[in-house]
Amino acid sequence: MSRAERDAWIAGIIGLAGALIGWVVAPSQVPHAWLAALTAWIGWPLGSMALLLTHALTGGRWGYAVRPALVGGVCSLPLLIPALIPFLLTMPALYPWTHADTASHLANHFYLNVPFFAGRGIVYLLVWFGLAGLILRALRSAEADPMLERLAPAGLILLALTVTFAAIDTTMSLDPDFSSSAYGMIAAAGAGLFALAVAVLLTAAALPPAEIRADLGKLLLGLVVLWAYLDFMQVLIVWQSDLASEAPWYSVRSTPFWAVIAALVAAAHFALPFAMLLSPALQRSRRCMLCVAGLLIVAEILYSWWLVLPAAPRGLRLIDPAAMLAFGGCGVGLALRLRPRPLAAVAHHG
Amino acid sequence: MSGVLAAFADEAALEEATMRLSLVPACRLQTYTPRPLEDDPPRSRLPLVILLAGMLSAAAIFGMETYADTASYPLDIGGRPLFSWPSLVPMAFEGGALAAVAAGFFGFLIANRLPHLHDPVDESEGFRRATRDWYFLAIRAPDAAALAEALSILDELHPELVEELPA
Repeated sequence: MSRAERDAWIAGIIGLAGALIGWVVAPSQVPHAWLAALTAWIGWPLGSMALLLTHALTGGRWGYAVRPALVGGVCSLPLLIPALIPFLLTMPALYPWTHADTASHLANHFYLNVPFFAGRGIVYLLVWFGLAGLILRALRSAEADPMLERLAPAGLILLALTVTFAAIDTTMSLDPDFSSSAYGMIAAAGAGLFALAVAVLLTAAALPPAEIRADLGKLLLGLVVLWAYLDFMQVLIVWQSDLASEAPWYSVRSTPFWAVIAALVAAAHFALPFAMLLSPALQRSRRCMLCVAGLLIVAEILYSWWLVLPAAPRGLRLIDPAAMLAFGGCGVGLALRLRPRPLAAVAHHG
Repeated sequence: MSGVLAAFADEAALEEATMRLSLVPACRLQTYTPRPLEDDPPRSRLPLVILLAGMLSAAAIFGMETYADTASYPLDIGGRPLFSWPSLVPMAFEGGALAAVAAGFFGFLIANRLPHLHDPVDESEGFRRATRDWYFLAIRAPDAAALAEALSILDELHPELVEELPA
């Protein structure tokens, strides 16, 4: 076990212990804390798969530089199985539509009910684990690139559909009245951005050449703009239509505390990285890329809290960072444990 | 003003010629090369101009919209506050992007002294090789003395081709 892996597991176990203490002290805070951490973390494996498959279609030296980190992200996917247990146990506390009295008023009850939700969940798991298995098998073979290329079109379509519906099911349905057609795309853009930011953070330590850093900087800039565009369009459309079914979703997320978090997200998820990534000189600077990647990771975590916790409704509690740490530590630990060893060596030649 | 066109086989020779000829007073030099020179060119100020044009226009348009909505022509639309900032963003963004692109387009033309439809170097037959393998240097001298000095320096450099340019 490497030192990094040991540190990651220790961080994960500290986080888990914190979450467990939270469960004992204030059990009502666990469901949303766990879901927010799950929402942020799942972007890493899913976004990593999407980036690997996208790179199989587009090519480019950036993809070979971050491939070991992205493969690590894919390898952390099995964490989802134990992570689902607390989620499934606390579902009644999360979703109003699981209660018969609320559900009977809902027009979308045909979609939001426990059996159908479970069925969709099984499909997501099959698609994600199936794709992860196929990607890892392709990468282990001698002709990794052509195999990934054959897998990519169908894989990306399936990923886009499952990520969209999984986002609708797990976080948009916290408010069963709210609907936004951009929601799934925002989640997908956020996942891709999160996975690329983690990959840049892990790769920048290995000192890739300045041109590759600049390529990664341009990609990050593109994803930052895409995410900001989609998220702002949702705000704008809800603001202009001002409907009783949609506006409350933003009202509970603009209480004084959550409005401050929203402003921080706007700054850390868009304004600051956008301004920093505009300059080619900063894109080439290793320290700047580490800062931007770290900032984007923090922003995505804040964003998940902002999405999930106001639904409780509640503010930020100690259990929230603990749950986030549990996912981060265990995810990185698992990625380092399961990552195929020779891959890191091969990828350097790419 | 008279001039001369010289061609060199590689970048190093062009560089040496440029360096030595730049010491001749009042001579204007212009290079034409088949590929970008390896030496980093001086940083262009155009990106800064584009950034400023974009930011200033976006701010100006946002300010104009705010003035129109709150002071000049306040209108109650479905009970929204008069300063309804989300709906002001698209216009400010698009105006900013337009101004940035326009600044880039016209700034590029001005910085490169374009459009420039004809230049004496176009008359030279050999000049076509500037698109393939030769590195060209056009020298403009204000008077006969400077031209003679430039020619004597060129003589020492053994260029592939020397041609007089029409005035």
